[in-house]
Amino acid sequence: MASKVTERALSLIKSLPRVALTNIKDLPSAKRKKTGKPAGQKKKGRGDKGQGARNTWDPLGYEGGQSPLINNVPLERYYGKYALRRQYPPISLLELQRLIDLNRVDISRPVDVTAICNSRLYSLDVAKNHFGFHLTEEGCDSFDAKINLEVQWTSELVIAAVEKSGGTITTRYYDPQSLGAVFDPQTFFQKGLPIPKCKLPPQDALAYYSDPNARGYLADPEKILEARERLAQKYGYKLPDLSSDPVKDLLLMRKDPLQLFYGLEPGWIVNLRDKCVLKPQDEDYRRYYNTVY
Amino acid sequence: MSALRPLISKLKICTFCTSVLRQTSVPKSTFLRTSALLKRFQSSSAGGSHVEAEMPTQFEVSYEDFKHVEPLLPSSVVPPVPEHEMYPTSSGWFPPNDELRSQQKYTVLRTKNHMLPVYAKVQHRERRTQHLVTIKRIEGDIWALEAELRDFLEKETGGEIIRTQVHEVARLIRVRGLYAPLIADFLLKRGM
Repeated sequence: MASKVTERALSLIKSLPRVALTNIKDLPSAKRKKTGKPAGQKKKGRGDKGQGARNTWDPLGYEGGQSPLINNVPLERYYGKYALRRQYPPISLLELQRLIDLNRVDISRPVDVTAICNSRLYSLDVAKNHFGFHLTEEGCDSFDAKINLEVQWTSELVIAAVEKSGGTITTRYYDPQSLGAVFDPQTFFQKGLPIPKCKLPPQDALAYYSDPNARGYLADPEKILEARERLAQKYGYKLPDLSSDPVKDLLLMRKDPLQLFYGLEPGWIVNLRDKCVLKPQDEDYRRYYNTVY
Repeated sequence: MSALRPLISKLKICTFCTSVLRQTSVPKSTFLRTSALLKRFQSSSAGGSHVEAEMPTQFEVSYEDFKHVEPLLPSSVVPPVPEHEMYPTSSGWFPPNDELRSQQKYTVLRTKNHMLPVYAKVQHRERRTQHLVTIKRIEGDIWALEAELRDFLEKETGGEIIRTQVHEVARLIRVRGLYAPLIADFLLKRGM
């Protein structure tokens, strides 16, 4: 039988964690102490004299006196402030029509970012400075769906195509935090956070979103009606009468500028498990969620 | 205030405990957890701690308003295509023609999204760009499809050399070049 020392060592090893690459290290004696300065070395490996030895290199881009490249090449500002710009990923009218044809978007409800992203064929990324969809003109001749549409950026031709087929269109701004909730509501509701209130557009976008010609959500509704008629005259189509439309209520549904989802107010909390909506009653809380700053 | 911070982060206090939040000036929306809140609310009624008793948890629970949430949740399956009055639809889509398709030696099935499984890809190689079209979901005689497709493309392009690759195991065909629209046209003509 082994000695007591051996047995104790063995029992210790059993209780200790297994020796692995993650928990071994060199013995202290394995490391040699560094001496301050190798014997007989004067120039510290930097050669004899000159810029290298004295650390006086030319500035970056300096070409010995001739005009450097950075001065000769003209500026290209196409990508200027790229990181700060708002990005609107495109979706064309043709693609939207295909979504409608294949029943990926329900046109008995207003079509917005949520509806488009819930098809799971398009998505947005807030981290990439996405601020919503830009509805482009491809397929404007064949577009014939009668919908209540809400996008973030469009052109005049697209507005004409949508209104010609009897629908309505609004351009709407969502700030990044709101967009995070709007483009994937399920994930957002699972977090149990209160529905945020939507901020107003930044100064450089305010003109666009309050322009009746762009069907901005902050524009005067009466001026929008005038702009609809003007556009119909310009493109030469007959504007369908909204007041006698059977789906008039659907086409004229609009969100409040602070509101993100139809029927749900900012500040409310959705409980997906219990299938209920919680409405906080605190006065300060409600005042915060119902006022524009 | 600084003494309360660690306590708050530990307990994940919600926005309803405004009295605590006001003292600490923590952004309101950061600490909200509905289910955790409900649990703590229940436990506080049975005699909780000092922090729990302070929470002004007044809220109205509405089961009716959940009807506004339901349309916001995505469908977990791809919905079936509705019957249209005429084909092609406004966006140019039409369903596969089963009669025409059964006459061929091969079949190319539609994807789950009701589209053709034809994928164009651009590969950026060193000093050149490769264009590649892949046809997937092929059933039946893959070699017959390759031969017919090659004939079709050669005729359409006026005698270009068409380079194809047949993968029998993965049941796919790769074609070099920018031929995705032509290939789609070929497949649609044969009822796929």
